[in-house]
Amino acid sequence: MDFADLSRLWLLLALPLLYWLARPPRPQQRVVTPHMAQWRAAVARTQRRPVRFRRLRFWLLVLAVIALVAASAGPKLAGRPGPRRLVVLLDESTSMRAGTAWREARDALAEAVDAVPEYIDVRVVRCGASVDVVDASDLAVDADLLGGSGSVPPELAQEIAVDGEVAMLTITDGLGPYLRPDVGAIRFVGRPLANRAIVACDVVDGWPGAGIEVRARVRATRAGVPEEYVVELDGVEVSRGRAIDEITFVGERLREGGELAVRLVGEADGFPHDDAVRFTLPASPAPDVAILGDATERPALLAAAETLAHVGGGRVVGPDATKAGFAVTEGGRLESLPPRAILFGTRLGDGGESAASRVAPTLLDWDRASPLLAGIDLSELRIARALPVERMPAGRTLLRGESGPLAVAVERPEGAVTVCFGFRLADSNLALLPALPQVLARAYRAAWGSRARPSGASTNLLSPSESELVASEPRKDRPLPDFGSPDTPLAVPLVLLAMLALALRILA
Amino acid sequence: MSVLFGPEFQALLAAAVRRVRSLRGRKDSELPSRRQIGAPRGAFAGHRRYSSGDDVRHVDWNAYARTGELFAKVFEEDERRALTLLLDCTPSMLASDRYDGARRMAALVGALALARLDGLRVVCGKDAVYTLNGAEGVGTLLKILDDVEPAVVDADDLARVPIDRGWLGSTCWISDFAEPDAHSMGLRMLRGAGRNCTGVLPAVPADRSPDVGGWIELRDPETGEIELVRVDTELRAAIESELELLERRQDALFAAVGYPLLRLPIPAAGDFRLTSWFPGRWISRI
Repeated sequence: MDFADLSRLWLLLALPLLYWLARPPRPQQRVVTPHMAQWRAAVARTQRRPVRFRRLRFWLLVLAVIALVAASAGPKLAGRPGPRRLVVLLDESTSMRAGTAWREARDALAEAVDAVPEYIDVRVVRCGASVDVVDASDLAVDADLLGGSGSVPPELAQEIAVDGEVAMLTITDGLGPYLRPDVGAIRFVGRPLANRAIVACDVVDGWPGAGIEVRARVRATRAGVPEEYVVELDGVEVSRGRAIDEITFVGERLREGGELAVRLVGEADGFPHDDAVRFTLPASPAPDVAILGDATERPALLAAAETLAHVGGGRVVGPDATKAGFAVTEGGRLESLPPRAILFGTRLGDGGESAASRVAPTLLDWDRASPLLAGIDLSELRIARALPVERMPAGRTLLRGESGPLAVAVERPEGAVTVCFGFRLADSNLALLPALPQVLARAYRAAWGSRARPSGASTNLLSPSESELVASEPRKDRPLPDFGSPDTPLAVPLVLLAMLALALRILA
Repeated sequence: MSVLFGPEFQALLAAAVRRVRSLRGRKDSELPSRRQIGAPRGAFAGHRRYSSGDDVRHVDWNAYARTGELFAKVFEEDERRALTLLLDCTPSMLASDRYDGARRMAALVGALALARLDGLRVVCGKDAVYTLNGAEGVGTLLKILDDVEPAVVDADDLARVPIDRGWLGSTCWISDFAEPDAHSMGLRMLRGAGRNCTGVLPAVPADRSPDVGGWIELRDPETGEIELVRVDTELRAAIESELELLERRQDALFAAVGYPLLRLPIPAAGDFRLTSWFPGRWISRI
């Protein structure tokens, strides 16, 4: 028998006091009398109880006190040893959507919950794209909502299985290259299936041009056997063919956007979810390009801007056009940073005249990792005069000079970027470099951010391992261990025993 | 001699023999002349079985020759002039000074019987039976009474002794009669056998009111039972009522069989005055 609070048993030390209190008083006189019967009759007549130390009453009182003290200490009979909690690791990887695996998994979970005794605490750990702990009764997941990837983390299973109080049941399809827990019970659901899949897809959008290029990597049902595919643009098949490893499609996008889909066709396989990938192509923005400041005096800049507007579907507008989708400035001053623009030596806000311009700043390096400058050679760039450092807005440094940033990219909402050069074209030789058109085109594209980029492919793509519905190891179930029984609390029986002892004491 | 029957009591005893002249209110001149119990005088009253203690001179040898059993001849006049003393020696007598007082009273009655009558028979128990006669028997009587130890004796057995032995004289039963019902059968047997009997109850103050207070441990000397009581005014009144009821039961018991019951207060220790031991001429009622 165990006690929850063993310190309460110290109260039993009061039993000697109880004995002392239960003792009858010490008689003042001892009398030998032949009239015992008369004395007893007199005591009875006065309705008194003869005073004596009644052993039975005392021991009943002792029994009651011991029972109550023991009850207050939280006694319990240890139950059968064994786990008293069950943790179900439910594999919610995408491969569980294949075939009947998920339905079998839910049936297996319900079967496990029904099989364990009621006093067993059951928790379900959903091992999908994230690991969540839920109650078994709260589990209501449709197969279509399963995570895009994931598996049962073996280290998690090890940590759970360390404690002998917890039994672990892993419900998984056992498919794919993931490691399986080698501890605890395991229940395999579903079965290996033949499956083809698009496991990777990349779309190169040529906007503001009309070109688009799609490259999709295919995992065929059987190695070396080409799979048939179609490419659909806004529901219209634009390409069909067969590919073994990779699908390549080069075409023109629609100016109004639409959905681009790459589908493997043919007989249905075990997991149709990974047979297609879809992109949403946004409508081309076709913004107008505004030339501000002294930009009109720069023929190269003007020509580049006109070309840019033409390709993008817009036109070059004057400095008064307030609704232009993209602005190109040369010098001058602006009240605030435009949302979509490329600035060359334009001052922002009020004041700042007191700060001296940087004369012949030295270009140390440029950000080669930035999409704006990747692959562009600016080593010949020479700058005669640049804005002071404190006039440069905060942002990612594109050109790093000796005295501070000479060009920055300012992040704007929806992933848009505004590029600010700290010098005018007139104060540098940038207009003479072949990089200028590239810089303008990339700034124009970056200014529209995600609004001009294809979206949706990442949500459909599955990892190659998820699409591989074959078992890397033999699938053999391991049964659950025998559960332990709960401790039996003895407080209530002990209280009842105490009450019984007290009742008997009254009758004794 | 022991403290119980010390010189002062011996003096009291001698004074009683000298000055107390009668038993049952009769003068010596009214009584038949004294003789030894062994002297066969008076009318032949019949036979009874010989029992231990009988005088062998009373054995009817002719009857023995005829039957092969011993019979003693009984002479009526002899028996009537003898006194049988039944002394209750049960442990209940040990309460207060009752036992010593009872033995002193028995000594006084016995000495007078030996001085005035033809004989004395002392019955302290079923097998503690003594026959004494003559003034010289006083010493033996005192020794017997001094040596007798308390023992549990059934009252019926005590009363059956004189009946079984055919003793015809008066009987004096000294006891506390603490349990009247236990003595009822014995008294009825004596009455049925035509014996005269007088009950003598050596009374102590505790028979009427306990002179105690507070927490008292009571012990029954016969059973050894112990009770703890707190004596206060209420309980004192109750026990006095119960003791009064006991007295009435004792009186009713003797009234039912027609025998007198004499409640004789035991004089205080050291009081050996004749008037203290013979108040109200009670000896004349035996």
